[in-house]
Amino acid sequence: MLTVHDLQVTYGPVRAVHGISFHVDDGELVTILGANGAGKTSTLNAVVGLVPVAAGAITFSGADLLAQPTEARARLGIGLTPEGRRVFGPLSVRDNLRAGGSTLSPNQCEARMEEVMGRFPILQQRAEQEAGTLSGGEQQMLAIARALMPNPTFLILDEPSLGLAPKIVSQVFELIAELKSEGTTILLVEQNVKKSLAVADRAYVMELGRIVREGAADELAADPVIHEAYLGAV
Amino acid sequence: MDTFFQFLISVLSLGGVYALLALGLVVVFGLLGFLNFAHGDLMTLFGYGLFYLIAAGVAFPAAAAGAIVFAGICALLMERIAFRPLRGRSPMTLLITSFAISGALHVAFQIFISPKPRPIPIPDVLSGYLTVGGVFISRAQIFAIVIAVSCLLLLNLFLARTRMGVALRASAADFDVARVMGIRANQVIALAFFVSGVLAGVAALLWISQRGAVFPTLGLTPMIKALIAAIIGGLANPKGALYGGFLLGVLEAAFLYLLPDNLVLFRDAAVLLVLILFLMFRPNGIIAVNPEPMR
Repeated sequence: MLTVHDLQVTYGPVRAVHGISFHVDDGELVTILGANGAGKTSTLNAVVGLVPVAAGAITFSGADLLAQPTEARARLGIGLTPEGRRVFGPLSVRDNLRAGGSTLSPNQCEARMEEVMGRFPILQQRAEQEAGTLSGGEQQMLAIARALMPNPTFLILDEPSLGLAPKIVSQVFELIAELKSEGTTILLVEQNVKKSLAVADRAYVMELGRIVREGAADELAADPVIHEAYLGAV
Repeated sequence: MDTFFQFLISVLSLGGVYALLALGLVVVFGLLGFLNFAHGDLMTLFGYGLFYLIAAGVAFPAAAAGAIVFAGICALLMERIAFRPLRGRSPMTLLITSFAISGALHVAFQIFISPKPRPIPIPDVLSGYLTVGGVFISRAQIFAIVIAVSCLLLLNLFLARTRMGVALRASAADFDVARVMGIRANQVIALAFFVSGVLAGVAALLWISQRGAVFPTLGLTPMIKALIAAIIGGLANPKGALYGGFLLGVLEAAFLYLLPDNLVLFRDAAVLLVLILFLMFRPNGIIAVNPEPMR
């Protein structure tokens, strides 16, 4: 479904991503692990078109993503829950969802909003509330719900558990597992290594802009090096 | 009581115009992170549009509507010709470009039209005074209040109820994420400029209705007022522009009523003093939000 080949991302003289290659197949849940500054978010931003790509190729279902502007990538079926949630603070929950469904027709958008709200009852209760006034957990649910509005075939989740209480983190991962079981292809970037590997099929480990390990999630979870570097403290 | 009523009328008529102007600035600032100094020139373009339409024999209401649309189209062209090629450049580059557009338009008006004011015949219905319970109210003031309030309500409806309105507000809140959601950047930015041009046109209609002439630098003073209102209210939020516009109306009307006759001359200086206080103690305005404009 998604193939990234020899991707390089630079910010001025600083190279954040050093020619990485990875792929996500249809129906898979792939996680990219790594510490802060490893280049995970830069990689995701390159996929959705929020940062320019210095070199490399990205294809999605056969289409050359780099030839498409950011907004056209959403129309191909790519959804993003950005790092830090980034809900539209001054807009109501309902309008956030409407904005998420901007690629749908007005009728489809309203029907889909009811479906999505049915899945997130808390958002139904807060429908008219300004998104900026929601709790962190509610904002995360809204960010995921907003990304689900166009019914994406490929969902990118950037640090969905960041800054959330442990109970909410568990809820978020339950939701991710649910979405996977429904057949949504997911690319998950997380620092919560234990939970990510528990839900993922495969994983890539990034360090300083390079992929240093890759493999099946259960194999990596059992790998002593990974265990020591990432799971020891979890 | 009569004085209060008179004061209220002054506040609403002045504040409404300033709110429209400030909103026009803020709509673009929210997306692109720069103040379009050529915004005042859209008012001048409205004025010349109105002048030529009336000269061509079009009735005032139709000419006014046509000139408002003309101002909106000019704003669209401004975006397409001058700002779109610079998309992605720093807000400072866009700001300086807007100064250049403004300067070029002033010269063009002087060379191709006239450096002198061109009179615009204002219909009788908008001139003269009415007496309501012993209070004198100019018809132009009533017209300004009705048009400004209607326009603000319509704009609010547009932003709250339509898909394009939601797209515009979402883009102003977080332009990058809005694009990731599939909201088209070119469409939203063009819409913002068109709305800004229409708001400048409506404000110009109210401004010219009380002055009866158009000249090359017509937009300069209202542009400064809009800037003051937008800074006081907060540049990143339409509500802020609204509050800033009406607060500026309150300040101007209050200084007019409170200052002794020999000091009324310094009314604008007093307003600027308040602006300085805002810049010192509340630099992000009444409604301070941190925008993430497109870079």
